[in-house]
Amino acid sequence: MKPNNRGLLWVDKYRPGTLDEMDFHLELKERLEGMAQRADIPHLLFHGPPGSGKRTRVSCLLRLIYGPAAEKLKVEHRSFKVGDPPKEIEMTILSSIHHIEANPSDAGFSDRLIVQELIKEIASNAPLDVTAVRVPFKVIVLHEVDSLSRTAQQALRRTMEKYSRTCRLILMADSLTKIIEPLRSRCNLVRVPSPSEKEICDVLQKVSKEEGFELPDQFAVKVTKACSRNLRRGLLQLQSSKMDNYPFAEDQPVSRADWELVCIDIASLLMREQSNKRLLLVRTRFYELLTHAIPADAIFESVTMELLRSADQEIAPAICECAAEYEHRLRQGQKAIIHLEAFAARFMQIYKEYIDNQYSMLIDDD
Amino acid sequence: MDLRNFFGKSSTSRTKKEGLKERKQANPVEEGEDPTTVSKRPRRAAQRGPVADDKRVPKENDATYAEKEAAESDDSSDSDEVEVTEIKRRRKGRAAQAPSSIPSKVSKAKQQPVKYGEPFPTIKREPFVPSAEALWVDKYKPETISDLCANPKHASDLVKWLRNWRSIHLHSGPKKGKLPPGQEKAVLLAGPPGVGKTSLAYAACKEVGMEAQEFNASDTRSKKSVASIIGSLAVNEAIGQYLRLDDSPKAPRKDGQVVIMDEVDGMSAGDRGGVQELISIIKSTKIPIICIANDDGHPKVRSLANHCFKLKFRRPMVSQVRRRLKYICDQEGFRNISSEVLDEVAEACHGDIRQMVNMLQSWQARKLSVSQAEARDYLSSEGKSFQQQPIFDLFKVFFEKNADIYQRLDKYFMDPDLVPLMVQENYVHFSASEDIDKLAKATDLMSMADIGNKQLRESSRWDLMPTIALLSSVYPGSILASHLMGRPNFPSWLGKMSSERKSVRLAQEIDMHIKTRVNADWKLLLLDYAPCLRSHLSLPLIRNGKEGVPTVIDLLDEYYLSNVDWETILDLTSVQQRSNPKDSIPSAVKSAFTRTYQSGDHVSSTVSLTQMKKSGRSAPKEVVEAGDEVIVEKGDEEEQDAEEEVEDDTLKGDKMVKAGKASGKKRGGSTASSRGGVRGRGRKKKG
Repeated sequence: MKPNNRGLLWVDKYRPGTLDEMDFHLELKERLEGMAQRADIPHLLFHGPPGSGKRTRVSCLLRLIYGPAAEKLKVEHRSFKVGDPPKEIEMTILSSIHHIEANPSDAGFSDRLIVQELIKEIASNAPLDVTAVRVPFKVIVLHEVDSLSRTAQQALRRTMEKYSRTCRLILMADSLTKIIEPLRSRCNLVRVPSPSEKEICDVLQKVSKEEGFELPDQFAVKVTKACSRNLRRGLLQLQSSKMDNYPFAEDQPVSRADWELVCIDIASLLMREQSNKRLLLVRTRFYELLTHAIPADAIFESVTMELLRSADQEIAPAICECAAEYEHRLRQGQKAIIHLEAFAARFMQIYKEYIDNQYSMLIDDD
Repeated sequence: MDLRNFFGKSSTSRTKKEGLKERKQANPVEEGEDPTTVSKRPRRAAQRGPVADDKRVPKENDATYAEKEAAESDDSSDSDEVEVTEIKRRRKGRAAQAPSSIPSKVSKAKQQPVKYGEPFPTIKREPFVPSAEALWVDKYKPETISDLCANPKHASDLVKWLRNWRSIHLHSGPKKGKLPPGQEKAVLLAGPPGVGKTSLAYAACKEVGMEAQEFNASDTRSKKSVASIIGSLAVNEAIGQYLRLDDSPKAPRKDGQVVIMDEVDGMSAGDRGGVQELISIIKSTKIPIICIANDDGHPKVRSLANHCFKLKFRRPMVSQVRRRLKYICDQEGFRNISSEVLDEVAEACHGDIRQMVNMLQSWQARKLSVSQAEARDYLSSEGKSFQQQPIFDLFKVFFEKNADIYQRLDKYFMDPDLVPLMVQENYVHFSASEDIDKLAKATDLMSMADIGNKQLRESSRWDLMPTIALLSSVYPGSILASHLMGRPNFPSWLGKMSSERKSVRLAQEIDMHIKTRVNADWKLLLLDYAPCLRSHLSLPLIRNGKEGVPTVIDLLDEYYLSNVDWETILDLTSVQQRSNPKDSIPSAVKSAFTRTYQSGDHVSSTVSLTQMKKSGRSAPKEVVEAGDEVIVEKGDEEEQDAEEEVEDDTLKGDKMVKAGKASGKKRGGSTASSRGGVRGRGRKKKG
């Protein structure tokens, strides 16, 4: 805990700076420490749901390997000239003198070229005298590898072998399923699962003690439920809720982001009426979200969760299936709105059929 | 003949050697140019053939001669048609002055005199070509202003402009500032192909009796060559007009020169910098310049247009061209063609007169009478057969019952970008979409089409287009075939798309500022951080008024955000309508916030996306307050010191902004600037 980061949000203020400060997944701690001590790490693939602490662990690992220099970060917005014919692609890069972090999936179609270019560039700047430095390689951290295109992942698999003498890759992904097999086999997999609800609760309580405010158990549980085991979201929600109203009232709802409220609204619109007019209304809501740069996959997830919460369990499998189908198509396609709308229409179809059946069964019983 | 070989000229292309032979023996000549490059502009009136024959004049240099192309053997039979129409002048061996040859068209009055000003003039006598072989477009090229079918206003404007040019630009002192419209030093004729831009330029020059020098895409027009050719030409006057030997009254004295820059929008790739050079030449020219371009929206042409008197050509209406077409047909003995057919031709060619005439000529070669049915047949196979239909009518075809599938496919390809968007936007408005099953099916198809669309764009799978056409428009349309309720809308996707992009850029920009402090990329930032930041950035101002200002500013500083970011965060996170907390902040508090922010010193990141976009890498380096780089110390136990000197060499040109961590210091002091040393600089604004 760093006392001098007073003004930061709690989620940043109480982010562990070393592996020793970690509150959960202690078994991972030993493993990472072991790697750092040998001053040699394999290529790593961190995977786990958002808010489980992947990034935090990676930055702790880097600190262990390179010392405090790894925390001197600079942001750069660079343009790469790649491809034939060459075109310029811009990319934001976070780097220290020992490592570099990028999110190549931001480059869209050109992610393959960025991946190749980036690794080549880093790898070609190897230290002259390898024996003189303790750690003879640089680290490239690539975020959101699971949203890289297939071709980019293919490009990655060769380059990471070729340049392994001078650089190591740390890949970050939410889920392994979207990562091609050969890439997985080249990496040491580090799974960072979501913290359990109890662990989240404990962290929330710990923060409340440090901050010196009263957090009733009941409210902590509420936040834990609302954040779907995403600790980052949990902490931020707790802080927003405290801003909304403190001391916490008995029936105070957990503070929700505006976009989440809109998603909830969409779900309830779909539940209440199934018609083409309703679809038009839902379309305007989708557009509201999209024009505020809310990623379409987040909308998918949030709306689906909300629908599952309120719809009958009987049709839950069908809902999941169609959500999965259209979310997959969204990844393969271009225009998010089409897939969101197709999902909404399909849900209305499923739900209407179910309701009609229920109704006719009722009549039959009578 | 020996001499010809000696000169290394191509003689094989010559076909009329017989007629030349004796003359050549008597007077060795040099072959001028390939006859195919000579554009033929036969005229009826003149009868100069025999006269011109005698005008061969040997040059002062023994080794070179002017050569006049001999008249064809059938001169005698049709001697009244023989005429000389073209002189191609060449400037050879003067590389220092003009690296490339200048083909120039001079009308016939200029042909008689021998130009002593030219080292190697080649007087060409156009061979007579029987009408069947001449291109009608050349044969019936408008020679005078009155021959032009369309845009009569432009014609008179251009003539007026040419007439006034000298008095405005040469005889009335230098002009300052922007010239009033109609008085610019150059004129830009813009319009679709085949409407008569080049013809008008020539006709207008002729009308005012000026000599036209044409440069088109066949000439090199790089920066250098444009400069050397026009540059010298524009400040000189043709020496020919002073040295003319011919004083026959038939040849009126040419009153100055005009440069015609044809196909300006074709100046590209090899012609690097040509347009800029042209603009600078326009500024200093002493002779009028006429620029001709197809697409006046092209960025290159647009910059040129700022310096030109712009005449935008419209496609002529059917009624305007009908008479001219009729005249041509009559002249060519193509009598059995009804004016309805001509109208259809005119319609199908969309105002491209050149194409109309070409088409008629090709028909005439087949047969001398064309019925309306045959004309339709021909048109569908060779014409610009598409008929532009307004998109609002176009897309409705897809929702018609019993429409032919091929017809719909054809309609799709009339606008393959907009049609699927129209279908996607409006399918919900068709009455059949009340059936949820149909609705779901149609959306499902469109979503599949979108996958194909990405394949098409990403890996250029153009072969997928028919499939996409079926999936995106034809099939969904036929499922939902019914009547439209209400009015069709224009695709909102286009607008939404651009605001989505803008929001993403804004989010990325905030992410860049905040990146060293936060463990997230822009998506997580927007989903999780921003909502929490929002309440902390707005609620203190709403609840505590002015007392809340310092808390908010502290938080901004902690995350290296500026007051601009403050607003962006509030805007981006307010997805619901009327939920923006900005609106609940009293304006007095808001202005207090802005004032306080601006009066203090702030460490804020100046890496900026928008700036990057605007200025690019080659941005002028004198921009002081902002750079593309920020270095932020994270571990504060470390002193900022020489380590920053290890910066990439590539970044040296850029401004670096070093933000000292404000931890130990109180805000309001000159934190950053004092710490950053010589190269570093905090952003400092005094209100």
